[in-house]
Amino acid sequence: MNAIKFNHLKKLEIILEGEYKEFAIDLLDRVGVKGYSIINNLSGKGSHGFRDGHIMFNEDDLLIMIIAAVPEKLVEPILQGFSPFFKEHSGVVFVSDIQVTRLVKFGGDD
Amino acid sequence: MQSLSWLLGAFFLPLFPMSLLFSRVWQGLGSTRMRVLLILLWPLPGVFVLDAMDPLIPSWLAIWALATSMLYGLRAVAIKEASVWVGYMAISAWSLGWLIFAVSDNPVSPIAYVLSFSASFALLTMIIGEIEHGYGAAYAGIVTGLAQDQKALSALFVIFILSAIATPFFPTFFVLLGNIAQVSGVRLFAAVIAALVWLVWSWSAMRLIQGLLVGTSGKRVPPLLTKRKIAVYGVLASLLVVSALIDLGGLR
Amino acid sequence: MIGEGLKAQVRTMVFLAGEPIPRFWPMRSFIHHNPLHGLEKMKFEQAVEKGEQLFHGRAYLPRDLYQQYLRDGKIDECILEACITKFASMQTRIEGVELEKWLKSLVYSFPRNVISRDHFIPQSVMNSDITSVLQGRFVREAAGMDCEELTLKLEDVLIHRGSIQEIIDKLFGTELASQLDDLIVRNCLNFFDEGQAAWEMPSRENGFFNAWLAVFGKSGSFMLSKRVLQEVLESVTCPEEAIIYVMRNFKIPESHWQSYFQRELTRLHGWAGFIRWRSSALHYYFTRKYPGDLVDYLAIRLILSHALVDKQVASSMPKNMEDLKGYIRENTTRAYLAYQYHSGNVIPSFAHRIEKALFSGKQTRVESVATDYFHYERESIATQHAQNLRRLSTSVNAEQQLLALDADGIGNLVRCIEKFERREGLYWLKAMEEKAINELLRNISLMPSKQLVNRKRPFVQAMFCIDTRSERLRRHLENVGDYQTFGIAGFFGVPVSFMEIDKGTEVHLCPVLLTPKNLIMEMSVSGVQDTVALSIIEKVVHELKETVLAPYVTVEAIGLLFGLDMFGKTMMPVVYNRWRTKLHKHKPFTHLLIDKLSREQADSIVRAVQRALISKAIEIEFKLSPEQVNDDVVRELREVALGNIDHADSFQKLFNVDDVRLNEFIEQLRDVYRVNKSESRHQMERLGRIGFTLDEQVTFVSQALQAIGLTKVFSRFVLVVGHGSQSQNNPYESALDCGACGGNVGLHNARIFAGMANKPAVRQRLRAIGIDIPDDTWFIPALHNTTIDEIIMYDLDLVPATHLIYLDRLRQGLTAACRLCAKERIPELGEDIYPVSNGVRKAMRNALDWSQVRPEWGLSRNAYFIIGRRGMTRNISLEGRAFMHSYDYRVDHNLILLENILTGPLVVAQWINMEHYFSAVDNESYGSGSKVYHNVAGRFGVMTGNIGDLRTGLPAQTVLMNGKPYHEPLRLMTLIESPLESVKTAIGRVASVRKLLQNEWIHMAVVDPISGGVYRYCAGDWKAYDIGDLHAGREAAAI
Repeated sequence: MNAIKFNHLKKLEIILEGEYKEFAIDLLDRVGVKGYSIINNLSGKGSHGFRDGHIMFNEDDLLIMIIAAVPEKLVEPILQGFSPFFKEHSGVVFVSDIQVTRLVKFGGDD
Repeated sequence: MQSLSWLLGAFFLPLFPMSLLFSRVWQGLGSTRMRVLLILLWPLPGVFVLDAMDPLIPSWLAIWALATSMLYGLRAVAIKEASVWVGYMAISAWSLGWLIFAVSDNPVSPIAYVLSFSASFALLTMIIGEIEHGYGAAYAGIVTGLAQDQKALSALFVIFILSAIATPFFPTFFVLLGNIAQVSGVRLFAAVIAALVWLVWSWSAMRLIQGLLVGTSGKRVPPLLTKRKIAVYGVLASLLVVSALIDLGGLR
Repeated sequence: MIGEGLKAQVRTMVFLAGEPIPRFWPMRSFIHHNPLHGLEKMKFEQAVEKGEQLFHGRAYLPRDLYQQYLRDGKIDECILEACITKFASMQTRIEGVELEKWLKSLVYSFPRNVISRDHFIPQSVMNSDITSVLQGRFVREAAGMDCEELTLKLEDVLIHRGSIQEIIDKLFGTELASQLDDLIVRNCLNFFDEGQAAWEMPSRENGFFNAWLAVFGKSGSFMLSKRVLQEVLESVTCPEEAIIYVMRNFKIPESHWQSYFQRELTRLHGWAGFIRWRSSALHYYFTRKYPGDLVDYLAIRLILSHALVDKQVASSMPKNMEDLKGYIRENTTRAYLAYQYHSGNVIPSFAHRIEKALFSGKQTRVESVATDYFHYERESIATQHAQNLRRLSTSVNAEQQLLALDADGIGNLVRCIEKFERREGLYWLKAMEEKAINELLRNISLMPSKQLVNRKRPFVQAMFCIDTRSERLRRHLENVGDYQTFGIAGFFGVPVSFMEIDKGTEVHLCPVLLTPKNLIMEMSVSGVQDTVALSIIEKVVHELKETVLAPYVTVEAIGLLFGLDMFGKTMMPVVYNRWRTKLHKHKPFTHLLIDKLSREQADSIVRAVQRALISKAIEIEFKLSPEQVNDDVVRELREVALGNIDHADSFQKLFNVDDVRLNEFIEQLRDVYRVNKSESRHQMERLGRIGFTLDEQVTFVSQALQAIGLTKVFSRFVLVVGHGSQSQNNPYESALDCGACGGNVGLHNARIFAGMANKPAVRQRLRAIGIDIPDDTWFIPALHNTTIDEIIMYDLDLVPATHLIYLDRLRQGLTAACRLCAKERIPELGEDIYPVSNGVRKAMRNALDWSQVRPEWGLSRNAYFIIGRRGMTRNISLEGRAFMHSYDYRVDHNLILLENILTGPLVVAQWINMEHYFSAVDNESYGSGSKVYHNVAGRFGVMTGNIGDLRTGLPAQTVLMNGKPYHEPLRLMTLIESPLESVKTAIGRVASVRKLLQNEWIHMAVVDPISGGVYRYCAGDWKAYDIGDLHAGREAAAI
């Protein structure tokens, strides 16, 4: 069996209010992110207190998290794009180093 | 002696640059009463003298008069301060009166011509005085929407300004029309220019109406004219219209 | 090369800048919303202040109107005075001045503000001037203007608040700002046109920015600089780049970009709000076809402004922010005069002199006029203030104390009064709200009968919408007989997407916060109309590009299936309903599909459509008549088109078609007529959306019944009453319809709900969960026409025969109640009527008269939202001012029902309340002005005049009467009948309502039915409220 080849990428975890989902996705799309996953109905605690996560009549109150694996060169533009947003709205972005095996799925060449 | 008469005429039936004197004096006056007197009396010396002489003016003089009239007519278009406007318009109107002397045996009476215009301007000045009293100045664009709060005042303003620019059925219309008609028989080109000046007058009057009367205004001021004043002005306005029936322009 | 990061940043900045701008829904379904919705994260006080900055809208009514309310007994003076006392106690003490007394006198006796802020006089100068005037001296010393201060003030007023073109207008008297607005509105009308224009803008599919670029590249205007447009065309490929290009040329520092964007966007906030809505409404047909968002809009606007400025401003004059700053610095006096003159606020008697001075260009002249003007301004400001202060001091007999003050003292006094006058609106508002709240709390029955409902069943039970107009009708109905009424959101908890017969688009019949997952179609069953149906398909397919009907026939939806009566045959529904109504006289007989289609049914529908299309296609392409084509051939062709078989042999043979032509035809079938595999799949998916599963039906019915507490005793008849209004020539028609149904008529939801609740299978399942509906109970859908106050029942042929004898009594009761309601309501429209019948006639006229600008008052005067049992409010008249949602805390064990009411209907009511508030307080800025001047734009909005901003909010005729507010602007007062702890828990779980409460956008009180206590929410805490002693409540409220 051949050794599995690992490629280095960066993982972004963006947590923000559900009503800004379209905005965040649009930004990622335009910067060139190929794919992402969205986790809904998050609960959590932040500087604004605890938020519960179950679905209400009004779908905007939820917190969501968007996870995307991107090549390093996209991290800067993404963070720059989000920076004015997080000055005014609650949420965070975590950046971490990861490795993936199938680079082609993330915009690179295998 | 003759040249002295000419000069007198040029000052008082103003031709540029002698018209500057009238302009200065007019703009220097603050009181409405004085202005009314000035506008009624100023052209009379000139007219009487010329009427007595009854000359036949040469072409260059006619051109000079037309040029003065056009100059002040155009100048008035850009003016927003109503009292200043009246001053320029008066010069423009009076200087056209010189054309009466371009035709021999002119049935149009120069005194009637000048008086009809002066009367209109005088009445207009009185209304402007009312506006200035209530609003500080009658400045189009700054003082707006008069028709909203001052219905009677606005109506009178419109009547008198229409008279001032020689709109039909006012005496000024007939005298001016008569003047132009007579001149056209002798000097067509002059008549055409005079008609153009007439057109410019209506343009500038509309601008003034639009700027002062139309629209809404932020500051609400209660009606300025008492019922008695409205009645008095009403009578004067009717007199103005009725005077048109007198045979002024020889148009019968 | 502009980096991706900067472009993304710009896009985010535009997004954030546009957030405070309320979204504008197309008026076909008018949605009431809070114009300051984007600012709800702030407290109400701060939000309205920010609103003033952004939208130039007044936050509160002017004092003289509040004084009128005081005279009418609508203000609680104690609260007002308590607020004044509190304010006064927090100010620094001024020698000899009893501030409290002065302010009270100010508030009661002075109709207009005493201190004005719109001038350039520095505070210290003004103070000493006022002192001088008071002492009888004159403002003599021609104190020179402090250039530094003047520069700062000018910068503040111009640079920090205006866009480049506005600044240039104010300094040089140009009209760039209105020219720009004109241009951009025209471009918006061209692009966002929805089928109205005869000549469409080309290549709109490429997006707003790209389409505009293409057009402007070729034309351009004489007002615009060709050079700039040329540069833009060459260097810019996307809107973000355009924005960056212009902002750099205008030399605006990046840190100011976002606020500059905001100024540009709020200038025409109607259009910006519309574009915001449109770009986020992804299901909207036109959004998908012709996309355009705020970034495009801003890019176009900035390019146009740059081109305008470049062309019209001479090259020696300042054209960018830096140069403008420099100009102000170097020519301060000239800028001062120019600003005064061009902003229209100049003192009229100076106007001519200033004009001449500016025109002459001579610096000395400018200086001298400026000095004179400044001096004159000082004098008039000082005199005016001195007079006002003197009058004020006289009114409290403190004239001596006023004269004894020195310049500093005067300064403090002026500052205090100014601060107070800015805040007093809030105090008046609170005092007015207190009065309204106390009246409600004093009159309700706190302890409705606690016995279980063991009484005999009422004759009829009726479910009405929470809309305030239902309150009157419910009251009258209850009084004419043994009727029990309930309130529930007008869509009855059933969010549904509805496709009316003959229309191809879906309408969402639910609050705008939701997206419905189920589709209900209305189908005609009156005979076979194959030819009609097919001709419509023909039109669809062949004239897609040209026809104005194209939007109405959305091919990608199940639009192909609309109105196709052949489905009546395929569906074989058991029950047909008859549609008889005064509103839609010409509608054919229809029925509603409430149940889900089985897979076979869906399949046969798709097959039928495809066969129909193929037949038609053959007819058209080969000029054959239908008789010549038999079913087998069609079936064969279908199989080929779907890719199941390879050759259409029989077709070929029969009609002698060669291979090439056959393939061509197959391709046509696939592409043009959409007979292909993916389209089939698509259509099956869509068909899967039709109807509700049994589970879903049971859930919706049970939720609704539990929410209103109707679970035990059921009458013979349960009316399900939706509402709608009727008017002619009214672009705001939809605003009078049901907001819970997305601005549509509530009848369809009523029919659907009744249909579900009458189903035996549903009832069986309901029984299992404890809701036992007796077999002789029948749900009847009905429509309340709020304009003429009429209730019409529907689906009466379904009523069991045994019930028919009671229908008469029911009808009579309804008629009587309606007439009484009309009689009560019509006088408020300003007409006098006496006998009951005349009220009805007048109401009819309102509905049909197309010159009537006020067919009904609608939701004006709304003030309360009451959640609880009817027993609490049964005996009082709420004058049509209350939203009433029935709720029984005893059946709500895990508080889900209460949460649902809070998060849905309450939020919608708050939107309605706020919309009315702001449109009443400042109709020109927040409302849409007089209906008389409205022109419908592009079929989605109105403009005042022939071109201009889209008007948002409510028209003057809806909220004002004779220029004064008819709607009393108050924040919504919510009353909940439930144990206090439950309410606290429920609110804790609903973030949106919690925020509204904490930020003081709504008031709330709780009536605890167990303990009998009443609690008010005040500044973060729940305070017990003693009805007998209102004093305590007032103290608490006056903060």
